[in-house]
Amino acid sequence: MKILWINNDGGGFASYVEINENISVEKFFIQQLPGCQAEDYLIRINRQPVARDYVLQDGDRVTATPVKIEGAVVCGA
Amino acid sequence: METSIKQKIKIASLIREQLCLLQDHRLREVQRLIYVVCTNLEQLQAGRKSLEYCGYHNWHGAAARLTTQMENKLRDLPYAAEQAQQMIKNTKISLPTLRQITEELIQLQNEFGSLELDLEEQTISVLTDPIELEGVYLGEFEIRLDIGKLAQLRDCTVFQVIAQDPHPAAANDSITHPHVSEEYICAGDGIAALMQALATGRICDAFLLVKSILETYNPSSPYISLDEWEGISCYDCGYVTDEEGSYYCESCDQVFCGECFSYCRSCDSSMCRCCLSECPVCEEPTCGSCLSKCSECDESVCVSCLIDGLCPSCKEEMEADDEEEKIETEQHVA
Repeated sequence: MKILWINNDGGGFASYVEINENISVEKFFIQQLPGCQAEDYLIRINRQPVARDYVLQDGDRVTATPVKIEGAVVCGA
Repeated sequence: METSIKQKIKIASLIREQLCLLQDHRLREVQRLIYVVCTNLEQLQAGRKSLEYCGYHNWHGAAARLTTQMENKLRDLPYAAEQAQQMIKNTKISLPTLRQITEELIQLQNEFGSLELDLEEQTISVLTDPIELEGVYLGEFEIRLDIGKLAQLRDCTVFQVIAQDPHPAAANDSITHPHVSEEYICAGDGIAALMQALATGRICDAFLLVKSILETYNPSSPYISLDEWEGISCYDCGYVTDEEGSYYCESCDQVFCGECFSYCRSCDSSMCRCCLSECPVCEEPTCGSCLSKCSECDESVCVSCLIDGLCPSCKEEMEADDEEEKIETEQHVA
């Protein structure tokens, strides 16, 4: 099945991802962002906060936004 | 503040309009960049024909000049092509529907607990919780998106960050947060994700990214570091120090750091270096009260250097004149 994955870390691109059935959001996060801690991200499914053991459904919209981002003096688009 | 669904839809409509304009702008930019690439190619093609002609006539000098020009064009070409390619990639973003943008605004209200929509000014505002970084209290901030700037999306000046309970840096009132100056945030590591979120109409994600930046301190690149945030700023050099390290000048009624503070060498009065002058003779710092004008040349010197109301130069000159006069008188008498 397919879900929309929006990773706001780095480039912030959205893409459709094929996933297995019965995969929890926690497991999905580990697969997509290995080495990162879920606590460091705001994770939303279909714009709602969910429990870590929520099982992803076909067509779900998953976003992960880092809660810590370093600003800087020199910036530009 | 609770906003109605009708207001949200109106604002969503404005956002969509701006994103359509952004798309138009990007397509025009693609045209321009492709034109640059094509112009370069045409010039190379013309150069190739001229080079052939030069070869036929053995015009080596002209050929050398032509190849230099072609070399420059070839060097510019990959950059122009890459720019065009990137811009084309930027246009391949599907515009969000009105419903999707409205859902963004609903989520935004849920995430922040507050949402203000100004249809006249075309802005969206939320309030953060009070922010404290490394023990320095900065207060709440309003994050305000100017919808009208979305069409020209170039940098994060689409967002304003307005301190509600300002606790600015001691050295500069306009810096209310280590990464906010003049109410504009510098997104640093978040810039790419922020631009992408805005370009695709993910308004809530964009606000959450700004919030994440505000809640993170980057000690390697702040406008003013938190170590120097609180304290007393020297009126002269701006150095921030604590109360013990600052000195009050009674002469000008301002506060200075130790480096910018001194005392008059004639009367020992303490004051800032700006209120002291240097005696041109002994070069010591002297206050205005201890400077007097030489009655001959009018130069201001310290009272210690003044001799009979004269500066040392004029005194010496006068003594030399007196000596000369004395000798002349003696000769005359003799």
